Amino acid sequence: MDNGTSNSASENETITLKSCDGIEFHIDARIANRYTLLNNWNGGESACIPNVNGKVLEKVLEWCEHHINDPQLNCGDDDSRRRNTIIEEWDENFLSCDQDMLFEIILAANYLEIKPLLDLGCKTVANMMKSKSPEEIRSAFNIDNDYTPEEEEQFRKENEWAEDY
Amino acid sequence: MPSKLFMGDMPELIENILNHLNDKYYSLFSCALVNQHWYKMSIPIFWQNPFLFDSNLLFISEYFSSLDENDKFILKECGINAKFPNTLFNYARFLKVLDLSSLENLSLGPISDFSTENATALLKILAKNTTKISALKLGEFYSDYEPHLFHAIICFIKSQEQLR
Repeated sequence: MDNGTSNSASENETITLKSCDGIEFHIDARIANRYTLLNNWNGGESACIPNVNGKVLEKVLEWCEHHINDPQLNCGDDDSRRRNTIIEEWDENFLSCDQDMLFEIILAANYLEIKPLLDLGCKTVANMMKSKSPEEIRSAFNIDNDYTPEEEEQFRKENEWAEDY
Repeated sequence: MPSKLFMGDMPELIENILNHLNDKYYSLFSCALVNQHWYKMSIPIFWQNPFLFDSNLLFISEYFSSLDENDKFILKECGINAKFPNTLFNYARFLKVLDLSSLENLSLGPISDFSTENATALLKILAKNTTKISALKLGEFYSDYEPHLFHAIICFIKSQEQLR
């Protein structure tokens, strides 16, 4: 059946990836075929993926494996993917990890150019911000406020037309 | 300590997150008030389609404030008596959706008489100050054949990279 993917590797083929802390993963070659950057690190012995540790890489590869048969999206599908706010149950459970791990997955997906996972992670963070006040967002993500009261007042004044929505 | 994600050196990731909130104005407003970096990231999304959320066009004073003095003079000549406060940003350049049928409603507010001449002048000013409009909603704006207005709309469309 044509599932829209262009994987040329067969099901039995595996490649080896190594995290920055030296943990090896033997994965279905079709995963690496979908994401060019993963394929670049196929080499086992000496090639390892910088910036991504074993714990995070394991999660990223778990996601890739689950979505191995998803149709591949074209570049032009970016907007439609973003507009779709529904997160599948499996993905929701997958990202119900602790916050630090969620952020690490986003950073790894960005680094490895795994766009669907990157968008999914960003969408999850956006959902965490919905209907929250600025104070609640700062506190949830440990972000400092560097506004002076005057600057904050000026911003509110210029954008108050939207505050009630 | 915040995650590297929020430190400010990966703006494309913050932008991706905020884009998922593009129709949630309360949430975007909150995000813009988190800190100055988030403010800079939120404002372009916040202002890309203000018509959607503000049918009273209260934003228009801030919008027009971004224009230069000559344009403001023309607006006043057209009967647009909005206040022009100094603003933190040139909001006009962020606009991506222009709802001309909404602008007609300005006749109830700062524009006293939304005639063809005024509409033509306004279109010329808008065309000069933004290039990123990707959606133009005409509604009843252009219901009769009026060469000047028709010409102004064509010029406006040609001036926008994504409408040509």
